[in-house]
Amino acid sequence: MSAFDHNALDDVIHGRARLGIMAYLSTADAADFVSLRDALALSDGNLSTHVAKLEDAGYVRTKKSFAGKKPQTTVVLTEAGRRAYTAYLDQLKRLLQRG
Amino acid sequence: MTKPSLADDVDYLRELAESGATGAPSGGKYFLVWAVVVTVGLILTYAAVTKSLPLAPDQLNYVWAAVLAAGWVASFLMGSTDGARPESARFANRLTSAMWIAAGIGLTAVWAGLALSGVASQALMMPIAAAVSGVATVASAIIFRIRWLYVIAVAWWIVAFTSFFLLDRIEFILFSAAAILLLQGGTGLALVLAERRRTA
Repeated sequence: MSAFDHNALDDVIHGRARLGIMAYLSTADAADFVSLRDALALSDGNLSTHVAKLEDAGYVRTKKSFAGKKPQTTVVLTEAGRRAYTAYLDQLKRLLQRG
Repeated sequence: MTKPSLADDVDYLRELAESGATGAPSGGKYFLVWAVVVTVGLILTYAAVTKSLPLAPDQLNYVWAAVLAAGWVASFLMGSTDGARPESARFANRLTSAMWIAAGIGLTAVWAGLALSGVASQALMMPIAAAVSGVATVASAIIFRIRWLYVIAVAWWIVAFTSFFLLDRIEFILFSAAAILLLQGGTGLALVLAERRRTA
């Protein structure tokens, strides 16, 4: 395993809220906006901003649908997002091993 | 990033990953549909056996074929619209959905084998189905961390055991219907109501 390189930390994921979104989706694969908001204890606007940044990076994609007459947004982890999250965790592991 | 804050972040990530892994079950309506169709099949069987319905024993196979076909058609119709629901897209729901479908296919195959070969009584379907349902219910309880589902699983296994002492009685059909309604239908109703509360 190579040494820890702080430049290799993914800035898109590194923020606590975005990291939280990635962690949640890493096991859920997909989640509705309300579940994500409640799990991360974020406001609607805050979550929207973070999801938009992750979507711009290609790490998640959003799907709009209707449950009856209620609009629903589903956030889905992409393969690129899963790879980026795994790489980020590898970097964290290296940081921990460095002591 | 300091060591204490890193430790906090790791705890935070673990908690979120765990909550993402479980989510909430979205398959209650499937339980309800199968509880209804199997209960209808059992009531028709009871009516035929007690001569309330003019059906020969071999005609009951057609009744059950129709009942099972109705259950599968209803399941696939519901499944075709479920794909768009956020909860259904969760890994936990996809996993349990695949498990219950596999259990259903297995039980349908056992029923078809019993019906077509005639080597053993079709009444054996109840203990077999109850045992399989108990296993699948425990798996669902583990995946979704729902404790009361363990009680339902044990109840299924008690039904499986008890069935062997009642197989040759006509009342066994009513016992089976009651078990299906209570365990399958009751579980389905509880899950559907829980899902409605969450999405309200």
